[in-house]
Amino acid sequence: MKPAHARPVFLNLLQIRLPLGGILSILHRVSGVLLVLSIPLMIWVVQLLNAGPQGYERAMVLFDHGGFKFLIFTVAWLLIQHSLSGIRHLLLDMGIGYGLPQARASAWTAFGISLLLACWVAVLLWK
Amino acid sequence: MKSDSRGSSGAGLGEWIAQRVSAVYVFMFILWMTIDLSLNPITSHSDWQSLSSGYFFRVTALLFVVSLLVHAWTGLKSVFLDYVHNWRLRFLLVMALALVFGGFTIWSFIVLGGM
Repeated sequence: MKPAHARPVFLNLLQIRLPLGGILSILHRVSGVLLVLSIPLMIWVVQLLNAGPQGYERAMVLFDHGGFKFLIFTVAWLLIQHSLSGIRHLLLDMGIGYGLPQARASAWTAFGISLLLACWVAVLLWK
Repeated sequence: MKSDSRGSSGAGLGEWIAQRVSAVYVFMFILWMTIDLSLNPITSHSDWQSLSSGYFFRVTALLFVVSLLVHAWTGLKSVFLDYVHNWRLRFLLVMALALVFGGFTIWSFIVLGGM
């Protein structure tokens, strides 16, 4: 059933300008969905580590592989970004940092720390 | 206690809480593992064996797997609820998701059981 006075809907994603908190929030979703893909990867790696000394050696060869290192880096960055925006959401749930300036500052902080930690992970992986 | 006058309100509260509690546990476990593995890096198969055969590790890892699956399940379900408005399609997607997650649960339990 259509309402008599249909309200206008504006959902042009290319023209909507999300505030910083909105960008962080949608990234939380995107990173969360992508991280689900790392679940089978993680189970498989642990299975390999468990499969005796030969399995362990195969896992070590995998960890040295350039492509796999990049995969680990991507998963780590997604996890760091998701964790930081998640902590921010939990704080907001508790009513902490509700003001617009505080919310903006915490969003910038989440992006900043995530970038720093991602750089650190890259250094550890490729040093 | 839920009173009848509230109807279905509060029905999602359990999932809302489960999503947050599991998030905190998953975060704490990963943080603990990151610190522990930085202090005691695994350099051989026997290192891995001594870590993975520990009772404390096995129990906390099992809780981690369960929490992670609960967290991912609640998150993906809210994504479907928000973006898939055709209920038949959404039902099919949630069923497919349940199958995949059931598979993940069995697979991860087998791996943990083999430790």
